[in-house]
Amino acid sequence: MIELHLLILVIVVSFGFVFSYLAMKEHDLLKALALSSVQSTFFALGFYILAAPDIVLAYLAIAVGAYTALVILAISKTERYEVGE
Amino acid sequence: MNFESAFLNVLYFSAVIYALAFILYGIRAIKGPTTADIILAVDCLSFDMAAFMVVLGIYFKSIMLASGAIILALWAFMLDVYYTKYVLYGEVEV
Amino acid sequence: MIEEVIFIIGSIAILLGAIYDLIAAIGLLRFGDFYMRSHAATIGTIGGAAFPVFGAGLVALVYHPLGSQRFFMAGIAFTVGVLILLIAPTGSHSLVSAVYFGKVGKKPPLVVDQLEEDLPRREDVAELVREHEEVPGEEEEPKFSFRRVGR
Repeated sequence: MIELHLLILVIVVSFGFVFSYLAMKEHDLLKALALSSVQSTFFALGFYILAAPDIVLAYLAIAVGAYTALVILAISKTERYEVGE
Repeated sequence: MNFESAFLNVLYFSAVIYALAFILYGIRAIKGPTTADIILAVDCLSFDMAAFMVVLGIYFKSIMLASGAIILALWAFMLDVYYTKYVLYGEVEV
Repeated sequence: MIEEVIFIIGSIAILLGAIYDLIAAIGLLRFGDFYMRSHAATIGTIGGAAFPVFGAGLVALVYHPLGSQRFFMAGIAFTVGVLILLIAPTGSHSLVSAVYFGKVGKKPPLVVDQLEEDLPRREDVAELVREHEEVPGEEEEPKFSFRRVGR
């Protein structure tokens, strides 16, 4: 029983690793942003299980809110698709 | 009736089912053909994660932990609004 | 006596919400196109998130090992439940309207699309934009765009 939330922590952190790799290899920048937001949502639950509520409050406001807003603003001013090598 | 042991049993079953649901949402977010599928998956994922945070906060006996659920539910809603404004209007006013 | 009844009702709500959540996850994984997936997401947000949060609030109201903090915990739980009830339908509607009007992805094979018949036709939109902007020198037909119609 005591290891249950540690098992959930392992699942959450490994999914975050997979999503950060997929966001790095993606050429569509809007899709990469959506994958990055999935990764930050998973990591928020990871920080929660590690019993750090202050880091959860700061990390959610930065990685889900301000980061996506700024990157979508940058994409709308420039181009959406990454071209070239 | 001992509330603590009864709640431990409830948490044991519900946490296993919630973990399975998180894995399935993650697989949909990996597979998703368009960006809207990923946004829909992260929408469901964040709301269910907020519910799981409240249930887990009762188990850890801490109210500081449970206050992260409000922030998670509110910021995940902003992602939908940003995506809709980008697709329909072509520009985002932050 | 009354505390045990409230505890049992809250526990049943948490367990039922978890089962709703698993059903919604399977539906989100197995359905074919985006609109059916949004139907599964409705179950996942209301039945899988708002319902167990209200159940957890009822449990926290009578959970004595929490001490006098249990009223704070119940307040947080009911606040999250009301917020999810307000936010989740708004987000789903905005996302589906973005997919429909922005023509994201491939359109599923429909028998009849009654929303498309109610939309303004291309000539009407062009006339509306022309009399709204009053640019006589512009010859080309304006594209169908929501921003130019609205303002």
